[in-house]
Amino acid sequence: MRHPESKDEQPLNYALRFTERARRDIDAETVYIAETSSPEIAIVWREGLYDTVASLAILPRRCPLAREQFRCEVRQILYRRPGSRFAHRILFTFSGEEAVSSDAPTVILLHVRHSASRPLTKLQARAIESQT
Amino acid sequence: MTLTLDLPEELAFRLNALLPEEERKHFALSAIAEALSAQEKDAVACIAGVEEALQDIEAGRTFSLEEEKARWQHQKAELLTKSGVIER
Repeated sequence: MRHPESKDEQPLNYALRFTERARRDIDAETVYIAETSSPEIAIVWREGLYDTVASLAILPRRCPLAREQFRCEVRQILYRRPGSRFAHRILFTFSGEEAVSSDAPTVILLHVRHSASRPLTKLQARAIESQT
Repeated sequence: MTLTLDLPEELAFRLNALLPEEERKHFALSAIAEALSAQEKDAVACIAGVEEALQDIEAGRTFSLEEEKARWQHQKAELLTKSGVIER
């Protein structure tokens, strides 16, 4: 495996891809927010999520490993719409990093889900904002 | 196993106000069991979601950020039309 984030090299620019499952998660959450809050808030949530995803193009391994056990490397970034007390976990993996691979290094979004049933504290919200 | 907890002052005050001392152990055990159960259910659902996504990758069902954003533009227009923000 290459070491795309070693100190001596420029950080790689990862391509970003979404699985069908991640798309469905995002659609379902958009509909839920539109119905329970407003379409305008759903739009802000979704576009903020794309900005957070876009930030994964550079140094995605700054994000921690997900706490569950998976059959491959799965990391997560937390995303919170400004003003919201709830966060979502964006879970992702990697492809195209092997030395023999002809594909570009890619971050692949796997799953988007609520991070917890409990609202965030102000401290937690600030910590999420400082990640991106 | 004995568990000793440092409670924040406000939480300790609420506990003292609401729960007689003789009921606290039973209450704490139930709360821990319930929280663990919720966490386990969440982990199972999360693993199932990721597993489904890994099968998407194996089957080639992935889309670029540009494709995803283009799809969103259509959905967004529909959402705004339905909500009356944009007149039909």
